[in-house]
Amino acid sequence: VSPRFSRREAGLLAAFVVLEVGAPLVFEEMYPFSRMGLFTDAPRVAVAYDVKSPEGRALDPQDFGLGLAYVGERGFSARHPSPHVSGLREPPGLHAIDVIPSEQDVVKTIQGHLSDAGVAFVDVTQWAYGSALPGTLERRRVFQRDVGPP
Amino acid sequence: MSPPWEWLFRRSRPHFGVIALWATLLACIRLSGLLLPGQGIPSGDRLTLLSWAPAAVRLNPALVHGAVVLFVCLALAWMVQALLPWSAVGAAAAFTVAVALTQEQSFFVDHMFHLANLALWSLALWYAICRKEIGAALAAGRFWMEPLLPGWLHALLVFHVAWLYGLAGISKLLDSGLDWPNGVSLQLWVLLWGKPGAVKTAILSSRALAQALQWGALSAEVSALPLAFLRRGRIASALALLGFHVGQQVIFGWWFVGNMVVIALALLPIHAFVCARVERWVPRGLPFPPGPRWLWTRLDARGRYAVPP
Repeated sequence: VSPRFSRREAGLLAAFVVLEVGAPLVFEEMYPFSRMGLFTDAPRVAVAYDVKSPEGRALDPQDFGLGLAYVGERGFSARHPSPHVSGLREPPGLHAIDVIPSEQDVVKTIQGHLSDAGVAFVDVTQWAYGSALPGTLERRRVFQRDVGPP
Repeated sequence: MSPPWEWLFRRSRPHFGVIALWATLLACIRLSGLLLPGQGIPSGDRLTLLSWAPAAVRLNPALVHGAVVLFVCLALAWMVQALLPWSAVGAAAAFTVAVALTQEQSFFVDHMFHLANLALWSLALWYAICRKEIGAALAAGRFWMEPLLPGWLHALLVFHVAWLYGLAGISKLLDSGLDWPNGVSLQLWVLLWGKPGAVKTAILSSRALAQALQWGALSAEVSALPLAFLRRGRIASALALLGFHVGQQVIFGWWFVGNMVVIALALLPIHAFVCARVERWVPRGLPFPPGPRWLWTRLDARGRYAVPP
């Protein structure tokens, strides 16, 4: 075991530590440095959708603008509605965490996607999950209806 | 009297460093297989050191694959102590570029790579700073018997774990306060992303269990910052953080292999055990067996063929 010391070595180490401490405080995310702000929110409501074709076939809600735009990130919830910190933006959508979109907004969103999805109308059900019941996660049907062209 | 930071620059035999090197590189090679570049609308946010690069570079998926291939080649060279110190610095840089480009091309930031990447840079810093001593020891066939490992390498690993997990916990408290471990949020996340099975069912049907798990996670993260700097607290912190990641794997299937490797290397008493053990090994100067001396020099961890000083 032989102790050695050089200013250059100490300087490089100090620079590394200063960068690791300083970068996240200034930029929040500056890979490989980070404030590690994922899943910092505390949502209390989530929504799920069942979308069915006229024949009763299950369809992907994402094809109707109802894909969930939430990955538990800081700055990406109802509490912080500003755009999330990332290189790319999620395609605009209605479905976020901690929000129960209104029936009118859901209908309007689906109507905007009907022709792209190649169906005349769909049957949609909006489910809300939340904390109304003690212990378990309550599941509540908010509405169910047919949606056709405007 | 020697200064109080002298232990940071004290050298010991390199065995712990090489164990850390192999474990971290293998974890990073595994992680590099998870990089999935995508395409979308640039947000304009600055989130990696490559955010200032032109869009043609930042949003090019082919560059991610190129950086991964380069990283794996350099990592293999580094593991067998070839092309030093360029394989070391190059591997750390290539992994950083591969992950940074993926983050630039994603809808969300993935925190699975940060800790392993910082450990990789710490190891590269060791090889860059000590390149002359390491090169001379390898040439003399005495790599394993020379005091080449500075004390600051392990200290840096401890610091990375303490700082990143401490920040993760503090961010939760700053954003949501003590409402964060309310149980409902974990139940919602499990509902959205949980692996189907008995664990998912148990969490969804018990708010108390969800709350307990969230309090455990928050405590493990927040306490990492003070505990990691206390020798006696490190093992408790390591077990709490490893338990947290095992829980993530069981509940969500998120496998933080890089983080778990660095936590174990930094906080479990591997460093002290290995350093104390290898100091007892004496170079014996036996004749090299048939085969390339280059190979035996790198395999001779017990110093059987190293010439005594």
